[in-house]
Amino acid sequence: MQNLFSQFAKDIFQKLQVDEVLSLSLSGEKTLFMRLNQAKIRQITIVDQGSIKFTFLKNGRHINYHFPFGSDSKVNFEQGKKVLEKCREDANQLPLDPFCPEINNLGNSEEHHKGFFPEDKDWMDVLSPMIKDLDCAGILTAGSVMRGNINSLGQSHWYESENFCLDLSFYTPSQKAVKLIYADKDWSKELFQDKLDFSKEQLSKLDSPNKTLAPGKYRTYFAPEAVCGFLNILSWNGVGASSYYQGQSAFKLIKDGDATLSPLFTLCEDFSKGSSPRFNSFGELAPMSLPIVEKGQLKNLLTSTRSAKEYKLETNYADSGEGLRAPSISTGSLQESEILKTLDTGLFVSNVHYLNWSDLNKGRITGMTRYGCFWVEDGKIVSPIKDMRFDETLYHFWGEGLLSLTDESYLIAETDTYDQRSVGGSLVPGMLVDNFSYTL
Amino acid sequence: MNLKRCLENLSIKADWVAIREIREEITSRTARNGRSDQNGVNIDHGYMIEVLVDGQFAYACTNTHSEEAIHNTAKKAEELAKKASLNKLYSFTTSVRPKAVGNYTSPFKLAPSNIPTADFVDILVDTTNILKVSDKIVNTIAHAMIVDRSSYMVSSNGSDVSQKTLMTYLTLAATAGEGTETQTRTNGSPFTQQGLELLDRDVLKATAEIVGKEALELLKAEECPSGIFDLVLAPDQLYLQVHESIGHPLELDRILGDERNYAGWSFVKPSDFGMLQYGSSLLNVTFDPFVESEAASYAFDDVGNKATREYLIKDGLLMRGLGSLESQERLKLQGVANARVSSWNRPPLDRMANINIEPGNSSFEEMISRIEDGIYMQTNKSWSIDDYRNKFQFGCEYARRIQNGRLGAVLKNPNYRGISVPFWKSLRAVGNKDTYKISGSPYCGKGEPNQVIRVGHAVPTCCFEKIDVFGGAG
Repeated sequence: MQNLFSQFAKDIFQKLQVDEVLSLSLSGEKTLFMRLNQAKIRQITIVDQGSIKFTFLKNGRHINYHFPFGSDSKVNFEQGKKVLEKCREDANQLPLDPFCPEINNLGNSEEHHKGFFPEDKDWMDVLSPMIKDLDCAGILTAGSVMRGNINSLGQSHWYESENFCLDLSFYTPSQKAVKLIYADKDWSKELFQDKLDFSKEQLSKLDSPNKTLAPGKYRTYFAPEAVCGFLNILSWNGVGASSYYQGQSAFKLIKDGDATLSPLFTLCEDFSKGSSPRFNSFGELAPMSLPIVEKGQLKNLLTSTRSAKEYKLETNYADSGEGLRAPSISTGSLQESEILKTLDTGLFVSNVHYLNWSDLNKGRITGMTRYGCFWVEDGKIVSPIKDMRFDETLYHFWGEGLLSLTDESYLIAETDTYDQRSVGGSLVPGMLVDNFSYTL
Repeated sequence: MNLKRCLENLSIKADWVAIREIREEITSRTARNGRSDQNGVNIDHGYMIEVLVDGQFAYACTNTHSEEAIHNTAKKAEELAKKASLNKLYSFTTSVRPKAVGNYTSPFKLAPSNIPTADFVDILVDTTNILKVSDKIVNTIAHAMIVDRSSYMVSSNGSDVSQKTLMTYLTLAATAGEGTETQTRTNGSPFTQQGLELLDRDVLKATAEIVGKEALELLKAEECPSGIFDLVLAPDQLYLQVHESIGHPLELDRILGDERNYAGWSFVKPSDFGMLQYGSSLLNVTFDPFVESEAASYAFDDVGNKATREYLIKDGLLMRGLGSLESQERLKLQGVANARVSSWNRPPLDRMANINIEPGNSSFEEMISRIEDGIYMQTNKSWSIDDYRNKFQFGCEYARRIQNGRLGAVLKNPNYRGISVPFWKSLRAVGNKDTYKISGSPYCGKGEPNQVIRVGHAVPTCCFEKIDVFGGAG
């Protein structure tokens, strides 16, 4: 696909007029999706797809145009020419855009991450003997993903990764569940077996009656997967500059100096792990590392070049949505072997579900506990809990309520597959919070 | 490309095969604060080849537009189905893919091509100026999305189904700000099957003036009180309550456990159909694919099952689930025509379509007049529900206190929470046709791999008694 894309770019740039600039962003994938229920195949799908986004600039106007990019170069080029004409027609009718993005040649980059895992037809032969005795539901996603950007000023970036993700859950006869995510470039049967064994051990702890807790405030340990749930919602009216300047940001209190977070809390964008491309859909290259919150103090909001122009800020090359692409929360000092002992009495929450802002101005988030969550007394697991609804502000759980973070962090893979496979993940530790509010 | 010829020329061994072509063109334009902001078009177009081999369906797709690509893709689907059949969850037959012949075209008055880009943008820019009713309005947005979708399916047992829909989504938003407080009011973002008649300048002006004025009101409003209140929900909130706490729990694939690892399971059990009193006797819920202009009206689902209107809940009693022919076969329960796909690159799932509450007898005035102390909430802002679809919490943009049978002060940050069946059992009044409104959402997420689908919900205003209500953070 890389060669097809390069040739397409050469051909279409030759059709540009002197006052036109064009940036091309490509997304592509060849993916096997195997959906499981009761450890059997419910649905199986192969997706072979590509799409191109034109960002077309002319006379201070800009327009975006997406269209399919298949493996037939002639069809692609004919479609590209038609789209170019449409872009011109629209640009001629649009008013001047004072915040029109600039397209520059900021250099070239190329990343290829080769993976080693079973072929499409062989996956079930590998997995079935290992999971056949378990009640297992979930999905295997495997194959290659491609992202590219070439612009008419000579810039070129390419990112390609072969990888797989097993996103599974396992159930007791009473339908209590634990979650297992195994995402990597290289398949290891031994590593998957270790993860399975850990899941089985957790399942055995779930197979006792639920404790029903009354609503109230509880000391709580959140495992890294749960912390990742809280982190993800920040991309939606949280860390973006445009959200703040348009009056729709949960970070308003900290940005205005009306609140701080805990000195234990540090959040940055960190592309050094290579799990997602540094270039955005305009081809702009983000800093390798960008502090967002450092020891409780706000350092940067994610700022796209468009927002920078509109609000007279410095861009940090965020994508247009100004969401997190490679977030990392710094570790603390809590040793994993000490988690239960330090929690003492309270809740152990492994995952959270369906988060939403319940009071954006105050940074308050509601959601549910999910999967293996336990009541702990005197540093020992007593029983699983009935799922609880929580409603708490980030200024509490990453503020005065934050007691400690674990000394290890984990890469939680991005598993979304809306329209196409996502890339990247979040690097997060576990966290211990005092007086966390549960409401139902 | 001639899909019938493609199908005839496929050289694969399968019990059944179909080709589904889907093309969508989504035009999205946004104006903000008196300026054109974002303009884009997204064309998506491709082919799904679906095969049944030895009781197992497999799907392979491509967006390369050639017969050769379709032949190669079909071959992959055949190989995949054959291998997967050795570990299949259920052995299907062709009975879940009936022969279907027909077409559907959604109603519209003004095609997108009838409005030049310049006029389209100008209308939205003007609307953002009208939304700014005061200097305290710090941000205004007018956003329109036009979805032009066509699907065509042919199959080896003679199906030939063509469906075309034109859908529009319109958001007007004003954010008022003063000091540390900001409040946003919108028009509720209606999503329906219609054309660019939605860009009527007079209607937009009247709506924008109300949205701007109410954003200002919220800035000065009292915090919503906390406590147990009678709660009146406007259609632009109630539609999402229906979606989350009736629609999703009734999906038969959730009840079968297919969705356990993602959106979740359901508190509804197969034995509940025909037995469970889901709500008060005033609750009547239908799957209705024939409501004109509702977002998910269609003649056939995406595998060719002919759509019919069915009661899901009648007089409060649970009657029928939202399950495709595949789920009906697995559960031996009745369902509806709802095997739907988000696009050409995803397999069909049990989805909502038009899920509606039938209107009752109460006028809005009667409903309010019977309440001693209550809250009237409008327009969804926040939503969350557990994976079994029991414990929910919703937030709204705008509320009014109801005291002694009259609407009173405006309230900000209104929220409420509850548990699905007890909530629907607390339904005390159902509004009449005058309170009934067609709503919908273009963004319902579900499935692995993930799919976003468009749904419609037509509902009247309703009243619920003794609901847990609360305001913003202290």
